[in-house]
Amino acid sequence: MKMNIFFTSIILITFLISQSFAQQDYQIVQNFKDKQQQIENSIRDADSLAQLDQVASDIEKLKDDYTQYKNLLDKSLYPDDFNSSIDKLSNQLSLRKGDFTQINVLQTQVVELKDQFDQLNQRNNELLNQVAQLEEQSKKDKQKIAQLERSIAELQTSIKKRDKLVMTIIDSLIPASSRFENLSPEQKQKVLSEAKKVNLISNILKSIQDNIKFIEITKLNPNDIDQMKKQEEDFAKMWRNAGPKIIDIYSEKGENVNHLKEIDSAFTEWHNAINDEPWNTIREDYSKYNINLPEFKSGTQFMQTMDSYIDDQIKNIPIKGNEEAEQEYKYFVDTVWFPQVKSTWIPYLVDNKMFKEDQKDSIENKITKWNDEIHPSKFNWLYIIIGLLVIVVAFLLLRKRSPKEESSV
Amino acid sequence: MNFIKYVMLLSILLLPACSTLILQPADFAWPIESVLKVGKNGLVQEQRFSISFNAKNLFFQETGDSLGYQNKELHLIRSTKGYYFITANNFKNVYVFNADDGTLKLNNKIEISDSTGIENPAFNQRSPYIELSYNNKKINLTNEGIKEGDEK
Repeated sequence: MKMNIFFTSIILITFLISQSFAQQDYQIVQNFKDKQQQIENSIRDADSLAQLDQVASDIEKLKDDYTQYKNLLDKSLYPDDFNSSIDKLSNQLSLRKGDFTQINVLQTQVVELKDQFDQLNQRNNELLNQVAQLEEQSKKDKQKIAQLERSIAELQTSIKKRDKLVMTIIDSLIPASSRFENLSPEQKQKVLSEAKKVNLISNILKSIQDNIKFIEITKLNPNDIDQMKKQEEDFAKMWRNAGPKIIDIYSEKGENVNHLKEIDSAFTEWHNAINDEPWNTIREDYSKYNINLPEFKSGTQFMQTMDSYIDDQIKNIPIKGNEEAEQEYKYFVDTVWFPQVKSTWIPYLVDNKMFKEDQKDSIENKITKWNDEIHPSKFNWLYIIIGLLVIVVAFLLLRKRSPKEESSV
Repeated sequence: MNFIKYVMLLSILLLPACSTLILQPADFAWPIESVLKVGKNGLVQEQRFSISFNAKNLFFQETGDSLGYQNKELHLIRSTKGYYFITANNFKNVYVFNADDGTLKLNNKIEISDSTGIENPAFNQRSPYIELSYNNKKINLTNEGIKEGDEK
């Protein structure tokens, strides 16, 4: 038995020695290429920086083991050579290390941002409720108006802060540089887990919905709307760029993508809410004086609504009587049209191509006609009296001069 | 006499035009052998040095089997002088070819083993020789045959 083991060992050792001596040029090159490929795979599949450190030592070992064959490899590794093949591996390694460093920084960032998110969400909820209550109270109690304004300003700042935070997180997870590149499976997994950690999708939705709610419960001026529009455009642009990538990652990993689709429709809703806000504010301004105009959402609809309202008012003057008609004219024209609509909203609407100058002129012509219908007599009598006075004075002057002229002849 | 002078003059003028242009030295050596799979129709393709040829006749010559090329690999290397050395597992010979007007023309057939075929053959470039390694042996080859002193 012992003899058998002894002979088997001798044969095995002889075989191994003969194999090592028999290593051929072709085999050397093939082995080098295989090891190079293995290292490339390890770099690509590494899950952590620790694994990459191990790969770094593999590259060093490969270099040491094959330096003796450098001449052969220089000729055989067409179009590369020995040094450039090793350099290639080192470059791939440092690039991949960069990915992990980025991901580590991102992980820390995301944890910090999550706390901010929670705080802002809570504060925004409180403020939205507070503003809604104050809006109601301020109608009865004028002293509440100042408090309301303060709360609105705070809410506006807080909502902006949260929007910025959401955008920062999207930007950190899918940096602009990688939006058009293919992410590795590990990078995708990292993005997904970080996104889930901060409830990214529900926070994006909440941000958009709070913006819509803010528009609904507050009365915005043109400056506020401009700022809100800019905010919406920036946010939507970021989502258009990074959203498809996030959707891909979620669907690839078998996650529910319905919420992601909701984000697209929420953006549309937000966009429409901003566009409708000037028209809604104009309607609200009129409704404070019990002038209830039908809904309008465009310049043409607004002009038609105004025209039709003024026509009705003109038609109803005999029924309502002068006093009531004049009161309504004062509210409509002097209280709302000139100081609020014409001076505040028309320039904004014209600048944003939502309303045309000739549409404004058309409404003003109607207003002039309405005015003429309410005050027709005052204007005519004045001219008639002045005219009569002029005729009487002229007649008297002529009569006084006539006898002198006769006596002189 | 004049006629001879004219012939001599003409010969002097025409001689350079008839002589072959030679560029030297030239080195055709491949650094390592190529191990190539024989394709379905016997076609062999080497990508790096851009050479392809049909190996059916080579296998027929070696084995006498017209389908002997199927699922086989060829070992191919080019020597400094430009000769192609070809063999395969279980071949008894190394075939030496040179390029000739769109074909590979047999220059020499070197018998390596007269009984059993060679196992695990591999060519190495050892200018001016081609080293053949097989059955744990090594011999040096030229296009003319086995280098003197090397055993079979």
